[in-house]
Amino acid sequence: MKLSPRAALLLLPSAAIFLFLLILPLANVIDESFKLFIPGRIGSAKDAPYTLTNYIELISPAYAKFFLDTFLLGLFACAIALFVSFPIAYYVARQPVGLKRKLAVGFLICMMFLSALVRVYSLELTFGPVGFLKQVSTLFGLTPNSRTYIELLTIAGLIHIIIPMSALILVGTLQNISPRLVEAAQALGAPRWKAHLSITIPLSARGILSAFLVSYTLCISAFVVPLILGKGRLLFISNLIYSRFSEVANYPSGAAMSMVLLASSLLIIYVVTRIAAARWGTE
Amino acid sequence: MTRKTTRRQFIKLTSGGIAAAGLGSLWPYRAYAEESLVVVEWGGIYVDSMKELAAQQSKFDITWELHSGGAAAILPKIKGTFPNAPYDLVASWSPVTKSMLNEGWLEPIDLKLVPNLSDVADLFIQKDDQGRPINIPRGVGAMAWGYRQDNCPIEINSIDDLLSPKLKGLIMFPDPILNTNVQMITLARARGGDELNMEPGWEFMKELAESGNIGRVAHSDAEIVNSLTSGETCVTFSAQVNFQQVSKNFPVKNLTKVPGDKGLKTAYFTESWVVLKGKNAQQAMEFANYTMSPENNEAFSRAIGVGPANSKAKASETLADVTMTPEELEQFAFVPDWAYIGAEVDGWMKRWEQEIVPLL
Repeated sequence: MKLSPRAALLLLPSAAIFLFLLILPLANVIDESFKLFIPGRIGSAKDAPYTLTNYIELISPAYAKFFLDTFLLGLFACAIALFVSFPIAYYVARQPVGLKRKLAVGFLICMMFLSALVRVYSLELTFGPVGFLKQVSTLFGLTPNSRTYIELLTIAGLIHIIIPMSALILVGTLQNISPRLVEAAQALGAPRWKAHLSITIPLSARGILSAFLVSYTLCISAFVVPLILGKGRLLFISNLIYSRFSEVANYPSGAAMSMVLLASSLLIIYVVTRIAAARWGTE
Repeated sequence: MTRKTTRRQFIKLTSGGIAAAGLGSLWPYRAYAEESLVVVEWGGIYVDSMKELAAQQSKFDITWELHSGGAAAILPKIKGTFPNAPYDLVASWSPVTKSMLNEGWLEPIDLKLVPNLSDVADLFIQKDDQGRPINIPRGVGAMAWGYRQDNCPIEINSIDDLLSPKLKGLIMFPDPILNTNVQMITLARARGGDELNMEPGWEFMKELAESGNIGRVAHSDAEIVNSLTSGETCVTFSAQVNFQQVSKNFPVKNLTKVPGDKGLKTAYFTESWVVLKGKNAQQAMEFANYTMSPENNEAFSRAIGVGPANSKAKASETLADVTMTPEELEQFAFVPDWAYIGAEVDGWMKRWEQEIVPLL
């Protein structure tokens, strides 16, 4: 599509905002990430020499583990959230337009407004070491103080946040799929589960991919959930970045960590998108 | 006769009212007080007490900004805006004050504007290269180990008791940023080290992490109070003000004067006002001086649970656990080298992430 001068003019304000609020600050972070930090100072000095130290420091098994925790727990949370939100979205999308459907959509939207802090503290106070349902941990053969239980609680916190959003994204996709296609398949003798798997799922692949990407992005950049439910024993990369910037004022190290997280996230999103495109023809 | 208001009339009326209210807010409200200052203070009881003092004067109109966690969290905000930082006076403590001094942000204190500083012991005053004071100490606080007695399965008499299997998940250990890692310095001292020789402390820390006794790692004072109060954990190392909060509802034992233990020592710190360079520096000093009069300093330090820095102010009776005679100071207390440890925290935090967190 050719861009007309008038259309280009209309795009100018958003391009300017994009440049000033995203590109320039990001360039500043990239620049900071290569600067030498002197302990005791606040950030790098104006004339600090350039170095690769901030990146080299991250090449250690401990930091690999932090990245792995962030990406793997985020992945588990997304997978569970999609598994749970798909039937919810399907149920809502197949409701006739009316009060019940409005209430269901309204409920999902209201859930999005619920503060992340309220969500995590509700989980903490219910399932945490002093929660009235702390004995749930014994169902998994764990103690409330164990590392695995902390990981499970953190996944639960992430799921709490992403289920309403995933469901809303999927409602939009599923309501555009005609129910007659499934009915036709069943009329031709396909069992319900097969009709669903061979028609509804492939046709909603784009929506599932969108819901996954948005949810995964939120999970790997989560800060409050691991901070509170992780009890300082389970740290996501965003917690380490916060600590570098806000607490020890080592901006170069925080900037390097941010850039590695950004690059890794972009790579994962690219790979997932390519795999989905090859499998379902989504672009 | 009833008068009907049409929809258009209603919209006109309300929009006119909103516009008038909007314009009204542009009127310079500073006219009510002689001067306006932006003061950064800790939340909770700190800011409440300071607001009470500020309400008793009319010269300065104060806009309060709260520290979001430790005092170091304000540093990026100043760094991003200096020399036009939107703050005039900042509540700080020893290591953070040193960092601000290194950046050249602090206005040396003028004794003519802060005469009450002459009643503060020289020991607590930090100075620049030229020997000029750069802080106005408000209080002398103490940090030590302590525990909630009703929730602790053992009586703690030595720092090695922290390794007891009965304390599984019951220790709240502050991360190296909180308290500038003095908690690990106490571990180092227990094994013959100190802040200059932290290896014994790291070894102790590894044993503690592997024991499974650490239930939560604290990032803020609020987390410490919440965890102890809820009963999630029962033992921690903290400033006395936090133990005082918990002791309002539960029995707390302060391990500030434990004979014969090298690790259970009390660390003293100073918390101060610092004045940022800027057009309001003079007014900020005047307000700081007002808060430092003997009666005001006494009221503030009594409320927050620290010893008053002004020697003419009386200490609260509730500070008996941390008020020491010179002999007791020698036996039970130490003053860390704040300037040194302030510069070491970055390295300690990285080491914590690499060596301790994987064991938790």
